[in-house]
Amino acid sequence: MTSPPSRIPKEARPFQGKRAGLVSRTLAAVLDGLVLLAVLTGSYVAWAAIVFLWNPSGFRLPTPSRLLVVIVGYLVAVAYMTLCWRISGRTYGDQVIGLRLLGRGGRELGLATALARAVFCAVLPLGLLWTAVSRDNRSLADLLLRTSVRYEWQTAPAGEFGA
Amino acid sequence: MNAIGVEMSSSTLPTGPGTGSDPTANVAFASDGPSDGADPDTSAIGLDRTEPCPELDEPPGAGGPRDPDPAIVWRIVRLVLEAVAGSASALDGALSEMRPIRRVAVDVMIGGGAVASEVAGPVIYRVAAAGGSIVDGVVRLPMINGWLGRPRTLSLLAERGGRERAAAAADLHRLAAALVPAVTSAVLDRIDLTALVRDRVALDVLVATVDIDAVAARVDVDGIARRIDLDAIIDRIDLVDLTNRVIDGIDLPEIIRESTGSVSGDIVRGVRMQGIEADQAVTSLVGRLFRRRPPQSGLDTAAVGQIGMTAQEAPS
Repeated sequence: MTSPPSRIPKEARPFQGKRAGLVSRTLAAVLDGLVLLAVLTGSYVAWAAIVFLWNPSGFRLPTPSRLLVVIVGYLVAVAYMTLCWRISGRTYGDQVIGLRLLGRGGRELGLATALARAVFCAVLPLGLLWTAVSRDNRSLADLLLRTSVRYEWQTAPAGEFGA
Repeated sequence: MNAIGVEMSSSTLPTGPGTGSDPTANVAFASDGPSDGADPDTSAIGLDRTEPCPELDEPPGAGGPRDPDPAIVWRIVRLVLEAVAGSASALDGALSEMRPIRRVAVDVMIGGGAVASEVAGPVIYRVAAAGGSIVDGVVRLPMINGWLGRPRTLSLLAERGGRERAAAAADLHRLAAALVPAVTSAVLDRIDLTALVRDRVALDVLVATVDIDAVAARVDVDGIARRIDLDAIIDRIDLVDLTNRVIDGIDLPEIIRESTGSVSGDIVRGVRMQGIEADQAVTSLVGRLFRRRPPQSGLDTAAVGQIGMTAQEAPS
């Protein structure tokens, strides 16, 4: 792909395709967490609105249990990350920070790999801290599934960068 | 006497007001009295007799260097007749009233004059030569020569001649001053000057010689602008309609979108560059803690030094 180089600042070009470090990936994860929070909040508001419309006279705010919130939260997070990684290799946080998730050989992730990585990241998010210790900036999920997160400030098809 | 006239006209006598000289001043100088050995009266008019003057000393027709043409008078008359004939032809041509008989008459006159000149020229020349010898002999008589040789007499004659020439020049100047404007006006009334210039003048060549920059530099643009009534011009303009057309032409919404996107793009680039810089700092810190050598893969260590540039300085 011949993307216009002027889109990327000169000082950032040498890092394009290199594995991202802990800070950038953490920033992306925080943004993704905010997105999940917004989705859950919006879902709660929509649920409450539906309840209100169904029975306005006896309306009271829904009070879901903590277990339900955790389960729904995990399900939404896994679905969000799986779909994003499978479709474009980027979540919203990755898009903002300029990161991209690639599979073996720099290929796009398959659905199974994306789902497995999403479940792993949702269950063990602290596995991201291994990025700081790893020589190759790999998290535990990357070591387990042979994936990598790389700097990519502009959209590029999978396979352009090596694994 | 003829030689005297030639010397006076070529060296000292005034030529009229048109030349810028004052004839009366020259004549007055020529009439001053003698002051030294050389007679100022005669020297002023080129008649200093202390120097040899062949034209005065030698009698006319005595075999001198001059060989006057006996037909000179007729040649002058012929030129005048030719000029008159040409003028008459031009006038006839302008009025489209050609009269061939007039031209024939002029030709007959010229032909007759030529024959008469050929016949009478030698006779007149011999008579003139004989008359010149007689006059020279009379002039050489002691009494006559003394009378003519007095510088005072020549000075008076020169003074009189100068006055006559000055008067004639003044009359000619007044006549020209009166005739030239009237004739010029009459000619211009009968000529389409615009068409004449358009057909006969190479305007492109003339314009090419004009220094347009110098002309423009002399134009007071600010002065012209100050005299413009801008309020009156603005009153005649529908500013609302003009503004709408300008906005439609420049696609202002697109400009706003691009500028907004540019600002947000700068912020995003700043966050990204700071993230890369922080990644480098963490990697360097961990590498020092674990005493690692520089990484062979992953981040390009050669590019680490370039991270110092802040994202705000990065070109878009």
